[in-house]
Amino acid sequence: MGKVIGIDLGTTYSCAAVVEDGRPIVIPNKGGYRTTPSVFAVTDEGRRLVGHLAKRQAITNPQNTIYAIKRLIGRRHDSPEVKRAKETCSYEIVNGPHDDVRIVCAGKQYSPQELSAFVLMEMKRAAEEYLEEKVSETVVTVPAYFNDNQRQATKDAGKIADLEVPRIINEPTASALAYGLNRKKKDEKIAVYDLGGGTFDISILELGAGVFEVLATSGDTYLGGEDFDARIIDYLVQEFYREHRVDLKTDRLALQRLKEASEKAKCDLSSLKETTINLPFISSDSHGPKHLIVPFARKKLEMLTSDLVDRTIEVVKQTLEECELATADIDEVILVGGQTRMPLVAEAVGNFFGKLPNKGINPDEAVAIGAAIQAASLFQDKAEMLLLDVTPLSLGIATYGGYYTPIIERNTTIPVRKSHIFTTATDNQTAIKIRVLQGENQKAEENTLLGEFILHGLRKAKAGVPEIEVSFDINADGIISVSAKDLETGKEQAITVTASSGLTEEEIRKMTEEAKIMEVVLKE
Amino acid sequence: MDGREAILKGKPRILGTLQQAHLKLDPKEGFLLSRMDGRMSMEEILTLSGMDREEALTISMRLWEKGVIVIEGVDEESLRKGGEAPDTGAKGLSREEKQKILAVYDKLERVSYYELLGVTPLASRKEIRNAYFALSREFHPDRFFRRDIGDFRWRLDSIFKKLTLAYNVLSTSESREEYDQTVMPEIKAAQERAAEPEQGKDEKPSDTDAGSSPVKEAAEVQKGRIPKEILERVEKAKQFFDRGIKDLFEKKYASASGNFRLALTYDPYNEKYKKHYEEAHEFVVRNEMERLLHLAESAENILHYEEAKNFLAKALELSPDHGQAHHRMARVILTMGGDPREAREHALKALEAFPKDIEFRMTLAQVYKVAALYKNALREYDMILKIDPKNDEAKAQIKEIKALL
Repeated sequence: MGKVIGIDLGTTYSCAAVVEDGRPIVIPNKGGYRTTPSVFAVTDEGRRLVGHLAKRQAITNPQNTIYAIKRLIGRRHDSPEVKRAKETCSYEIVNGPHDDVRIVCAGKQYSPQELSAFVLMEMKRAAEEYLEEKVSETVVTVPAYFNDNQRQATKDAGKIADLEVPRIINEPTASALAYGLNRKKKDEKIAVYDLGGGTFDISILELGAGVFEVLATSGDTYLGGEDFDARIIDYLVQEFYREHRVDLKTDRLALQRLKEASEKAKCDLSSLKETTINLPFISSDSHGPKHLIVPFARKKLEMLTSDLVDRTIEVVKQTLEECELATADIDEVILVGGQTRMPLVAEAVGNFFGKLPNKGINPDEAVAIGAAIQAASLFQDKAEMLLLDVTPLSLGIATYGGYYTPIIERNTTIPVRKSHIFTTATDNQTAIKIRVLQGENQKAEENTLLGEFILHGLRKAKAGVPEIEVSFDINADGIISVSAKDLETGKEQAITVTASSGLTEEEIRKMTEEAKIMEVVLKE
Repeated sequence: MDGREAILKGKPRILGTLQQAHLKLDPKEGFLLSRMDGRMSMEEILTLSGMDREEALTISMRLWEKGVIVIEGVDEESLRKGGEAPDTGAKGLSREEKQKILAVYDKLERVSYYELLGVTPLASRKEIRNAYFALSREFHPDRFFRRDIGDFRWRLDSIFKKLTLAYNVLSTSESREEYDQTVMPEIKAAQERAAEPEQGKDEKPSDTDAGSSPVKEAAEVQKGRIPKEILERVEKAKQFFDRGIKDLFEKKYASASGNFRLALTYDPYNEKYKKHYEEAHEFVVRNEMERLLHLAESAENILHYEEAKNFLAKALELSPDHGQAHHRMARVILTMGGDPREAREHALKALEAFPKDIEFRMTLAQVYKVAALYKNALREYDMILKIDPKNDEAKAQIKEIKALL
């Protein structure tokens, strides 16, 4: 068996790491970069590009450059996230055959799984070159808020890239693993504040005796560094409109340049107090070419984005309340994700917790390192550390009146088994339908449907008399089985909930074949 | 005796509360399993089952090897004597790991959360957490990732789920208090009832206590809060204990010891059972030793040395460090002209038990002399003179050996 690596498949950047001789090492890609943009593109000549090459030509080829695909993976086409992406993305998003989405790139439709697979393949190839051996398994990280469909879609992306994914772990948990490596002996509670390119996550973990326990994990799948960029873009567009009466938002080429410039200015202002955004020839009208030149100060950036930072702090507050902890109970705060390099973020987090956040780990690499540590510990006989994983979202069933009754609460350590007794809602009901849902909303329809089945053959009785025991069972691999049992007759129905990534087995197989052909092309 | 003979003597019972649906059993295995209640001996089950005896035995051995049943009253080792079992599945686990998993699995449903986590009811939250973490490191299914552990997969799952439940209940003060107030008294009361058999029924007729209301109990059992098994096992333990007491009055000490041991098997934390078992066991061993030594002496008296040796060997099996028995053994071997090396072993063991015993050392010296190890013999006689300077026998022997040299 080859080495098992860890991959942080990020919204904007991805990173791979491996544990060698007990030490985690970040695997550099061909260009020597330690992180790889999660970007895929097809050029005018039909060449496929992944990573830095794809990102570098994004300005000139905006419609066929695909980025931030993580926001679409495992999502339904009618979800608000997808609608939002349709408005903001420079590429075309269409409805897929399974209520999912497809991305149009150079006239061909791709599923988000395939596009993620292209990035994974790039990471896999870099790892194989670096390790000089075949890599066939990887632990992949996802945001804490990912539901089972999104996790399954991520696994399927691995499959398409010819990578088995034995475990999916949460990004903040992975960061804590990276952090805990040197501190196995200490008992402490850690808050992991992860503000990446596309998502925000906060996790509270407790570690001791080499065991990690997730006390709580929460976040916002639609809040990240790109929202900070967007604020800058909006500001620049406004400034430009005020001066020139030209709306840059309608010009894709200009938008891409604005995005690049905004990201760069934001990064610059992490160390500088002031910079100038300078985009010559961004537009033209009957009077000739127009240039965008805007002086930009850190103060201005902070004004534009402080509400975003406040939003993250609000989530942190709720999460602490949820696990009945005060800020004083937290021994360490660690910052993960590129956006935490912004001084305002570090300051706000520090103020909230009343202690300086730890910057011991490179925020871009911590997640991948953690994934590599988890991968290594799984295959190691007497591993030093053990990760006690939890359910990211509550699981339950739909009940009478369109309500949702959770049976396994979020943040429950798995493996776990829990059951609850339900009864019939109408007289002489002989069958009940069990709809397995995942989510936190009281209304059934607001949660994700994972599967459904019917228990027949109930004895005719008054409503409320029959006792049906519904049990949820989650094993260590996160596979959920649900059973319903009529306690009177002993009749039982059960299903294994296979989260749907939106692709059928056959489609995955076909995509795997196609991806393989593509790999051959890339290797030339 | 091989495992198949050994199993006949035992009483098979199903391990823990087995989720039989998880097992891939054929109808014959299922049938046999349904006969095993921990009361009937294997011999009886074979007779009653109406199945082919050899086949039923083979199936029973297989059920035992798979860890589906335990055999009460027979120790592991004699069951193992049939040779290493051709284990079906679970090749990725060592025998120790299997035993460890089965041992914990077996007690899942019958011990309190405290006992399961190996902490006292006074343990702090931190102690409870550390215990949970330590056990997680041993029993979390990820510890056995990608290993071929067959049927043990769901056992580990069950163990870990239960550990987590115990930890969750005990680590928040509200649920712990509730557990302490509702479930613990039940367990304790059941254990106490079993521990006070002599006082019997007239003790306290208090049925006002809500805990013992059958309605509530049934409800609790339904919820899975009070393991019914605990009550059943405690009840069984009490039955065995009562039988043991009866045996004592009838002076059937061996039977009493056996019954106490069974009581302890069903209720392993009962100090009273433990004390009774230890005392009865010691008494039985002492009696049997006396009997065997006496038999050996009689055999010796009529010059039946081989027979004497056999009795002594049995005595030593029972009590391997018995100085007297070792000494007698050495003497018998000397007298019958047996292997001096064997005699020396026993003489040394006897001295290990009683290093200052002159008679024992004389025997050792004599053994050396017979083996022509004169220097060793001289050393021993000198030692005897140090302990007892007036020992004429030793002086005479020294003179004799010096002449030989």
